[in-house]
Amino acid sequence: MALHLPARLSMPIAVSALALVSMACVNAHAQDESAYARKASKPLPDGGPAPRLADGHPDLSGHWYLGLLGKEDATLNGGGFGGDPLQRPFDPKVTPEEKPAFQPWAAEKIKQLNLNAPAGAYDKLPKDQKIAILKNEILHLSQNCMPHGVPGNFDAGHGVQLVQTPGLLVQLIEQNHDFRVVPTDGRPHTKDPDPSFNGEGIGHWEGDTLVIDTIAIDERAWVTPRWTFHSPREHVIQRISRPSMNYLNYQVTVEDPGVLTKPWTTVIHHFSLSHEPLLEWYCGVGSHDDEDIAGMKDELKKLEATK
Amino acid sequence: MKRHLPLAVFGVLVLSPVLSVVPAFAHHGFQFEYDGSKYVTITGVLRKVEWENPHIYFNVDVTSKDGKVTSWRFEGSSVTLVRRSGVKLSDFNDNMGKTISVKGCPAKSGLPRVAAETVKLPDGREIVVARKRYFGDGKPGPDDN
Repeated sequence: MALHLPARLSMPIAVSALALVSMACVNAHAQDESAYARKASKPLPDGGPAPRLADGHPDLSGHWYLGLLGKEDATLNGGGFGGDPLQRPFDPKVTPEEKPAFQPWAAEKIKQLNLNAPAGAYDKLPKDQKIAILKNEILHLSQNCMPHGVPGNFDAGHGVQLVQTPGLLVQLIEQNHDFRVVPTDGRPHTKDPDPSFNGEGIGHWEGDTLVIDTIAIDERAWVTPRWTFHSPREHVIQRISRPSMNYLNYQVTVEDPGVLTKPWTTVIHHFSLSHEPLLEWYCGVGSHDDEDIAGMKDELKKLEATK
Repeated sequence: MKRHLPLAVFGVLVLSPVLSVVPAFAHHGFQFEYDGSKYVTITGVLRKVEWENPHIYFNVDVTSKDGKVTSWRFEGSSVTLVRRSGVKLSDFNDNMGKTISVKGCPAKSGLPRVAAETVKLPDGREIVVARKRYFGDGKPGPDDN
């Protein structure tokens, strides 16, 4: 949409520049072949057995990335969840994931927000729907440098570092410098905890699987980028295990009697071990993504003015 | 150093049908701002870089035959992803005022903005500043925070 431009850029110049772009159209496939040759990817070996702490539990510590590559690298072929299958958390052909069973109003809301529609569909939507989508997108957590909260901060797409000691799991989330501290000593939930983006997460071990039970999640936190609302009754159960040195298995169940007709459980999502350090991720007020938000607000204003 | 034409703007318009399984809200804001079915190469003089999250930005001046200068604005991925893809801030700073070529998906609005994928530097190196956003068959790119 990009309607927010430096004042020195005039529309006539922009239009003439675009005209030049269009005039110089060439064969798409020829152009694509000449584009950057991205590298092929290769999954990590299993790396041997998972390490264990002195208390006998598997040590989940490590810097983990979604997929099987153990790294985040845009030079790889496909370079993302929708591209290189090895950077996806699971292969839907091998382990298809059940869709959440939304209550009718929630299903309608998801539909209205077009959150499962093919890319590019936005342009063809009726005006009212565009308005609803824009209002939702303006609040996008990533775009606003907001924490993703639970469960989204585990598999939002950038690195997650786990640091485990007996009785405690610390989750360091690179995006937005976020963190979460989860006691794993078997204590119960507190009485009536206040809501927060990460909620109140309490861990316990079931065999070699760490189970984190979370309640009191702030309603602004999104479940996934395509499921952006939940009720105060949301209850999230995350199961984490380390089947080998280089891999982490992650599965989440969402119970939300205010939104779902039955609990929803993902298939196992795979993470792989990185040996790179987490990096600084400063993102705050004054970020240039404000340009994108300003553009969306302009678009929203225009749509509402034509009502 | 390879010399570039003062104005070298090449575009690709892909008309193939969109058969996408990519989620609608892949890169946040991408769907509203950029056209993942088009691919352009913009060549001009690097003027500015903003090295920050959630996305890096940089500006390139393109001069038309009649001498008009247009400042094109490019958006890449996050600093962390760009760094892990082997790119440093100095790749931009050391080439300030020099000619570079950028490939990516243009803004739908027709304004001079592009979701950048790669940058060809004056020394001939092609650096990657985002996950792949154009797949050559009319699909926009995947998630890209």
